[in-house]
Amino acid sequence: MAGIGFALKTLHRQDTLSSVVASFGHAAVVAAGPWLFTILSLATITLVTDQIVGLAILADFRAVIIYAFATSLVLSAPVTMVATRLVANALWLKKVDGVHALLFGAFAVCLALVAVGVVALIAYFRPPATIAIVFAASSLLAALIWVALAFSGAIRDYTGVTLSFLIGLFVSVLASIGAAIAGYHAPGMVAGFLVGLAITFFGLTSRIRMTFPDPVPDPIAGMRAIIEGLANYWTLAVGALVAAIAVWIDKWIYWFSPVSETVASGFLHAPIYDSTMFIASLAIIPSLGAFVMKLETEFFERYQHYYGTIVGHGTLNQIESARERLARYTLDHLTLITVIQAGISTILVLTAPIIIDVLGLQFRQIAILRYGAIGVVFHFIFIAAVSMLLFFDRRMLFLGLQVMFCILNAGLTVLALKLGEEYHGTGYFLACITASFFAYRLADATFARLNFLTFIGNNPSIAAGTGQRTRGWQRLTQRVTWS
Amino acid sequence: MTELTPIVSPLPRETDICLIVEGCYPYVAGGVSGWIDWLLRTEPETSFSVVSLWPRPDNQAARYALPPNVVSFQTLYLQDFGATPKKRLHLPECTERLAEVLGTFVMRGGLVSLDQVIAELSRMRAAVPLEVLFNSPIAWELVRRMYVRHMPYGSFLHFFWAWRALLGGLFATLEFALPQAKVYHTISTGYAGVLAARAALETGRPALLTEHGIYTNERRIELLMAKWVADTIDKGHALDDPRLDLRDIWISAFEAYARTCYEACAEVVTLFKDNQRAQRFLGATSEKLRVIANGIDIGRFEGLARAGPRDRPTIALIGRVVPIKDVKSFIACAKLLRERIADLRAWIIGPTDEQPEYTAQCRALVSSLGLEDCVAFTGAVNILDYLPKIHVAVLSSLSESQPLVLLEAGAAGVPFVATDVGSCREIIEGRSDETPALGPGGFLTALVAPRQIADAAECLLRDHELRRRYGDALHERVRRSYSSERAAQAYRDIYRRLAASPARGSELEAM
Repeated sequence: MAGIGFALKTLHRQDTLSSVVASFGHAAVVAAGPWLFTILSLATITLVTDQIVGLAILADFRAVIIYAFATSLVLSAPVTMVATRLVANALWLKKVDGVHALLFGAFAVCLALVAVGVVALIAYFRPPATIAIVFAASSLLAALIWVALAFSGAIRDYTGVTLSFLIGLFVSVLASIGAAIAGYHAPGMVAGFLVGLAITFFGLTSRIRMTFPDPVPDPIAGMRAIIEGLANYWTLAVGALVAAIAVWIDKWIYWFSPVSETVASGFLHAPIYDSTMFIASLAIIPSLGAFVMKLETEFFERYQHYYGTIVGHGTLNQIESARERLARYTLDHLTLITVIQAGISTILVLTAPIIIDVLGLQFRQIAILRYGAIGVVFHFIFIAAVSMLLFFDRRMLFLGLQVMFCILNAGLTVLALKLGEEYHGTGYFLACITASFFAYRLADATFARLNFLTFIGNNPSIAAGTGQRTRGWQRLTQRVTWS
Repeated sequence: MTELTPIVSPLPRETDICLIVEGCYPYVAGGVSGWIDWLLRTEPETSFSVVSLWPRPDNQAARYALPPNVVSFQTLYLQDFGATPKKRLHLPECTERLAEVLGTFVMRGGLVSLDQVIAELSRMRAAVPLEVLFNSPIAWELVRRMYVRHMPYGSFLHFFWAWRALLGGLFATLEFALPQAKVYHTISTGYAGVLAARAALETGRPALLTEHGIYTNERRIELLMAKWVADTIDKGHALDDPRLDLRDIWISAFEAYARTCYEACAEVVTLFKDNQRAQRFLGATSEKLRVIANGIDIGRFEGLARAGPRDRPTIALIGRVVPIKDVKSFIACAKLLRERIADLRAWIIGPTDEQPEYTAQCRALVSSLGLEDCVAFTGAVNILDYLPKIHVAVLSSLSESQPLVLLEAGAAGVPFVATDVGSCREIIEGRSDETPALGPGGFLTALVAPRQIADAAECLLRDHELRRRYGDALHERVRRSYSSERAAQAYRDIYRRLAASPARGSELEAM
């Protein structure tokens, strides 16, 4: 007579609330890093080399780096996102044997994807051979860095990340300036820049390899795991891809608009828009930093307390007060950081003319900088809110919001272009406001309905329907890929 | 074992008997499933529909081929909660009332209460699809209300899963499309019992229960042994603390289900008298209670030779190598006995692959005691080849209902030493109303008592006359009271009687 007896025995195994998501959601925030790194290094080099080399060479150099970073960021995003989740799973299950192989697998899949993009871009823009080579090299190297960065984030090696980036950035700046002074043109500067990237890459990778020693990692197994992961977590993969596209799409649209310019090597750019936006984006660094720090400490403590109360057999009253504590804390702090962000942006708005003047930019870029500065406030809210959704494993919502932001940013940017010069920058600005409104509402609703979501709505042990669909997908891709 | 997937067209017509089984036939081999297979095959003229209750679809394979008199077969999944509803639905007004009657039913049981649950569920179904009671915000509201009502100081996590498992099974049982039959025969209480009770309520046809082991006791033991059930309320030494913990809720639910089933069934059959205490305790009235012992095919064992005084002295434990059979006590007994009888042989006859870890422990014990030349594991073999070489059969089980090996050894004239569990006493010593009294067919021992087993076995091994007399007595008792033909006839009679009983309006109106 085993009927319900079977059920009784399997019950305790179902108590797996997705605590794994904690470390994962966390790393998702760290993933904002590459974007900041891009802006930071470009800004530094632009500021320093401005006087040394001619504007044309600088534009060439910047275009190569921007294209390399954009290509690698967008095409590696699905892989890094999924790899982060797989590493978080492995850490949570305490099965770290495969992590090293996973790193190599992610490298391989990422290189393949980025290579496709690189070939397509070279075929389209037809830059000179030297430029094509350094462009390909920096795209592929950058892709490897994004992968390594994701792993470092998942294992919370912030010291390693910071050191590797600082040293790499320092060398990059020095080497490309050195190349500029030595009279090498854009390809030489990029090559110099590559030296720093390589240092960052080896720094990050050696930290990871020290953490997961494995004399003979099996890259094929790692690749297989990554591809299966892409199918399993397709909402994450697509969400990450769309998120990366969304951040770049307004720039791309400007590159192909009448205001764009062609640099000597053949790439398109729109300095009037993109360099202004990069400066505005710098303003998000303090708030994102504060946000990550708060996550790491106080948020995480409350987050664990909430799940700890449930797993530790708390009463519903205790669970409810833990939820309330978590929700109130998070929203309070999000508000506080947003206020700070608003302050920084206000300063940027007020000082826009001075900044434009100091950087030697055009007068008409002031308005774009101001729109960008205010847009960044809402962009911050958007990033914070969607990472909250990832913390509670609401992958579908994450995907939906990213798609929405991407479409808004593209559509409104096109519209702004059509409306004329005084509307430059309003596309991104309005897209951020709208998307952040929805993201905030959904994050807020997630906190309010967290108990229901934890136990029923979003409980992987219960959601049989979606689970089966995922498994079906996985089986399909396995057959397609490996038979 | 068979590859057959039992798909027979459901609900073709009214059958004579609807057999309701939980967690066994046809997906589990042996034990109660074997008995059900026997029952179906001894009544080739009776048409059956079979409803098999199973936790959830898991590609389970049928271990038995359905005989031709089974005209319909259905599987009822207890823990299949359906898909998440797509639409947003509002909390129906009847939720509060449903929570209330469900609470009453799970805590107390009874047909009146079951009837209320069925009524409230159909009201609920009119408002929303029942899946929402498990996979939606309404489900959350329902579980919240039931928690606040019954266990507001206990582990919510436990309550949540208990609620899902308990009510999931209950709803599945109450939603299931009943086959039409003249008699509903359930092979246990539990959810199978609830389904039979519902059948009696809704069709007015009689329900019949055959209980091999006492379901509620088995579940109680399972729950007490379950490590995952945390005792979240510190009751200290206050025995009258009225607060319920998770175990209490589970146990009271199973008792409520049993109470409902006993109330609904026209007859309550068990294998031996001892079981009836538990049945009475949960409200089965004496006039319903009956004993029908399981029988064996005596003919197979007639004419087998018996081990003689010159044969190597042999004792044997016949059974699967699993902890509940306490094989280790048997090995310890062999150790004691070998010191007294030098060339002793001790066989452990039965499959060893069910719990390999336990088998390994047993083998290690044999070698650490230096018994390799004395104790042998035969694996699964034909018992008929071994019985003629066995002087004394031993059963050291911690729990049994009505062990067939005891009857088989008895049919072959082999006396028995068995622990005093299940119906061992009835079979070895005879029921108090046995006429003429045949005398004992072996010895009974306490649980985990290797020395007692050794003493009794030594007695039977040394005294050839005693062994012959006990063997004869057991043989005669089995022949008279435990033939399968006798059991088959008893069920034939009950089926005939119940099938002929006039249809009543419903069980409730009859009360």
